[in-house]
Amino acid sequence: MPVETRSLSERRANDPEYQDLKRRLIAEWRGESVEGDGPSILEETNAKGRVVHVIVTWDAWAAFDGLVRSEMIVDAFQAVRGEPAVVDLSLAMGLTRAEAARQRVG
Amino acid sequence: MFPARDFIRQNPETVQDLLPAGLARHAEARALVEAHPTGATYLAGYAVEMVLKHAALRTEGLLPHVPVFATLPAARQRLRVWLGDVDHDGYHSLEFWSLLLRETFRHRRGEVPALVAQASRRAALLHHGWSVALRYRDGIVSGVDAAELVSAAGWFVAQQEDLWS
Repeated sequence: MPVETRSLSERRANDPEYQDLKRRLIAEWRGESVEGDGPSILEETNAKGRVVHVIVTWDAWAAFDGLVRSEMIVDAFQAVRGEPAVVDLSLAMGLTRAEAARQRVG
Repeated sequence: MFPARDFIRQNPETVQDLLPAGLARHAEARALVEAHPTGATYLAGYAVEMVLKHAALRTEGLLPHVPVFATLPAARQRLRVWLGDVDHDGYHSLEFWSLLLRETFRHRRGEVPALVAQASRRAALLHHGWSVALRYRDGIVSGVDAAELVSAAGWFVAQQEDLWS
């Protein structure tokens, strides 16, 4: 059998649920979403006005753990804002509404 | 039985948890080094990982109460922009964290302090002597090699408060 090597990002690229959620997150970020229950995106900026923290509250990703949600936020952020902006990003936290309420976020 | 899984899910580790955990893992490594050299090596490397991770995240400006998991993908992406793809080995790689620490100082503070440069060189050596996958192994590290790594890890634990600003 031939050896097949693929990266984690390639695996995510082939995960239809991950890709669907990321597409919807990007659409929300770009203001193109028509979803009523889309993600709620909170951006926090530093003194220079650059986005350093992003907190997204969304029940649709309850099945994904916190690290995967964080990966998705960073991927989406880079798609929307570009590579120079991602250098300033230090926190990308994804929560459900219940988690956000428990942590008093948002 | 302590419900560790539920506890950790409801109380994810924060940046401020990293240093006491590193200190504890290093103390355990020292206690085990003669009887269980492979296990001691695993614990000692973990201590270094936590010191470097804490220093890199705090130097980036992250506050102590921030959950660590929410900082990792952004850290990976920053280092990718600065240096290109660096294997993070599930965010456990000593090389990844030492490079991120060094580059965070370079890009955020404009210079790399001598101590951080030294830490980066020492971590590069430890990177070859440690892998998180040691947790799946036993009996592959000699007592001499384990003592060397535990001692080297002690340097990082001793410098833990001076490696970030």
